[in-house]
Amino acid sequence: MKNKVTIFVENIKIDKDFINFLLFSRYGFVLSVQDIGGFVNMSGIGKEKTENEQKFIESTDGGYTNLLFEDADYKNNSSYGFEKQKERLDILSKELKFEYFLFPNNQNDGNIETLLENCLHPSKKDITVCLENFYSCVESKGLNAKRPKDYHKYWNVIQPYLQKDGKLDFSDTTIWWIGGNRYLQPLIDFLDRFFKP
Amino acid sequence: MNEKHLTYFKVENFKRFDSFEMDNIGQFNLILGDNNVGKTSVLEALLFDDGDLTQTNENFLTVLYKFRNIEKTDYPLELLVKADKREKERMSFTIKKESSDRQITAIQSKEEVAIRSNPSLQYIKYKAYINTKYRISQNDFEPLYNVVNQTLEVIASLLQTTFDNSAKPIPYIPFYMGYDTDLTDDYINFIQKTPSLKKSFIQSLKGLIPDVTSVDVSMERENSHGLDKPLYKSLLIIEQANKDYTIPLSMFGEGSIKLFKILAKIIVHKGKRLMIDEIDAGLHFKRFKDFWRIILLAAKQNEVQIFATTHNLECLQAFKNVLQETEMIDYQKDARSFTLRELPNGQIKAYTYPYEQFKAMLENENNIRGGRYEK
Repeated sequence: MKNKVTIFVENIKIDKDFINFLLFSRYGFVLSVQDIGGFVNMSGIGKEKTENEQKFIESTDGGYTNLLFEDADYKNNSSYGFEKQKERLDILSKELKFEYFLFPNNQNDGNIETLLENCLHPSKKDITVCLENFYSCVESKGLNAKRPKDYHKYWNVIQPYLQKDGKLDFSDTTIWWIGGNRYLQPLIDFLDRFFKP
Repeated sequence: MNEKHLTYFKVENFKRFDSFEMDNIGQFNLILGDNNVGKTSVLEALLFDDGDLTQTNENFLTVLYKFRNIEKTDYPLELLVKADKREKERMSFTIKKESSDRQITAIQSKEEVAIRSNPSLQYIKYKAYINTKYRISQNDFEPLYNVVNQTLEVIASLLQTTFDNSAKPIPYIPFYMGYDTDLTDDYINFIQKTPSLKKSFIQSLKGLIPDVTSVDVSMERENSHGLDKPLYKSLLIIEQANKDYTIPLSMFGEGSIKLFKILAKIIVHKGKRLMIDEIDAGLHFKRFKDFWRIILLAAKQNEVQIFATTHNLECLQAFKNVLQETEMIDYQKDARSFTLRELPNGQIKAYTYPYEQFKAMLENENNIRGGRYEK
């Protein structure tokens, strides 16, 4: 069942598409980008506040529930890691009124790529092998293969499934392993709080 | 920002607003929102001027009269005032400025009136500001007009007199643009007579017409249609360096005329604020950036606070792009965009986006133009 929810994501391409796959398979609908009641793209929540502050307020005023998806990241000089992220968002979420989920599973350090790696449909695992072969082949010729960042890698996996108009068919169940995937359970549980299967 | 510029504005019982406020206002403000959400009404409410109370009232009436399809004809203006005084509501304005925290609240009583300027036209109904009273701080009311117990003829003549004598400039540029006597009048009355203003006007104009040296008024003889007296029409003409001939302003394109008009208003309202409805109307989007640069430079130089409306995303984009230019970086802290939204309860709320925020929203391709919440 569709609900009054606005979803804030860090990476509109990967996060949005993957969440839409989940929404479609479990609740039978997808959300679009750009406005209250759909996906809102964030350039990331700043250390203190967010550049999307007003957007959270606009959404709350309209009677919408705000969901925020971010990467937990790994603890190092520039990133927080799960514990620190949680601490920060606990404070911020009271002020801006949102519920949050930290990729990969709201428990550990990591990011959306960690989650995607664990969700790739078994029949598609070999696509990553294809890509790996491609890069090492190019490199063996003494050329720079420009290995993409993780999320680009997964974008490459998705790309063959794009339709002519550049859209994805969210009903395609052969890309991601969604049903019965234990790694995905925390995210499913989180979404079930706001949507009814 | 100077001490006359608003930092906060609130209006109650004005047109469609029960209560509407704008916070964290900058010097350059671009207001976005869906149709019929009240963008133009915000501009009209901003005509409220605590500095010159007579002026405020005339501004309101003149705007209603001139720009809201009440045509001026030879007929006296007819005006009906609802007799039932119990239905009076009070319109109020609250403003804050940088110079002080002092809040000024002015209250006008509002009554339903109907105006028509020609017997063949329908009455246009307004909740309007006819029995106008003000209160500043804790002081007493100061009645300006009191027409409730007057006959229609008296009211009509009172309003007629007001309009005829209102040679004061109005800090408002309506949606309809074009080259008309308005612009010439503004120029003759408020710029040409004051050499220093004329000089700074020519200076600002150089952004538009680089080698302009002077703007003058020329009287052109018109077809007098068989009347005894010849008819004259005043025209604005542009003199340029290295050109032995002058060009009438009307020969320039719509966009240039619009910019000319905005610059003229900026000069006239030096140190105050200026409201521009549909700032992008009549312009090609490729010109938006240059257009903004000229306006912002002139407004900064003349300490004019700008309130403009648009529903064009490219207009906001150009606003952002021009602020990213090296010479404009200082302007960023004074730039704001406001998104108006109708809340589920029917109230209108303005969301303030400072420069960094509307920049991020645009770069992330998020909606910032407002709209309706899905029901």
